[in-house]
Amino acid sequence: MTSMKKNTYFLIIGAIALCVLFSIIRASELHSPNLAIIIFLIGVVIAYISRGFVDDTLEDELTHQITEKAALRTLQIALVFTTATAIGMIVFSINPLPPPFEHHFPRPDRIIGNMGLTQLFLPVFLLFIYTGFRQYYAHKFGYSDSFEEQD
Amino acid sequence: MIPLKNRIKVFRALHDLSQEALARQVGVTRQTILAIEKGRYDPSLLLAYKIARFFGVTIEDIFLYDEEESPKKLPF
Repeated sequence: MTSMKKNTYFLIIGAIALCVLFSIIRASELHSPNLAIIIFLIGVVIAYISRGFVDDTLEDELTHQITEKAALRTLQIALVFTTATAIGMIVFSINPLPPPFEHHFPRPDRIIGNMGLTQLFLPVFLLFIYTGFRQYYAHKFGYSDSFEEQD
Repeated sequence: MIPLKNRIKVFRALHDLSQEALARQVGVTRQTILAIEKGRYDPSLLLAYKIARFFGVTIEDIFLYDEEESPKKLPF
């Protein structure tokens, strides 16, 4: 295969996303995260390689500008959010919650799960913020207008 | 909205070109050509040169700077 259409590439990305989703379900049934992690990493590699075969222009200077502005705003929000979370955690570590909530956060028997959830929450949260900013800047620069004007 | 106006649409019509065809020729997406035509985005100097060279004219023939129109201030 030497070339690929943009839509084919997006179909491959969708298929990879489905595979990752099913692998997470299967891995949770098997109580083994290895399968999901390996499939996710393979999926990232396949997506990266597939991108090189796409004929159509996927990115140009306008998409770069939209990405740049959205990424900057997302980074600023991430800094504020993570700093606020860190301040809260420091306060809890200095002065734990009073009874009967003293074992609610963080629960020692669920520390790995809590860390995993926190790590999962942050990228998902940032992904939503990033997508929102992308939409905003795409609209601002007229990139989201999809129809050619007719005379 | 922005002081840079352009006549890409006119030149496209003269050459009987679609936005998609022009975009392919200058190596950008169709939406970028649309955004430039609508005056929502100022192209880089390199892209402006590519477009002008493709039509066989100078940049000034396609892009016009309108000093009277001031940019609209957005919150971000």
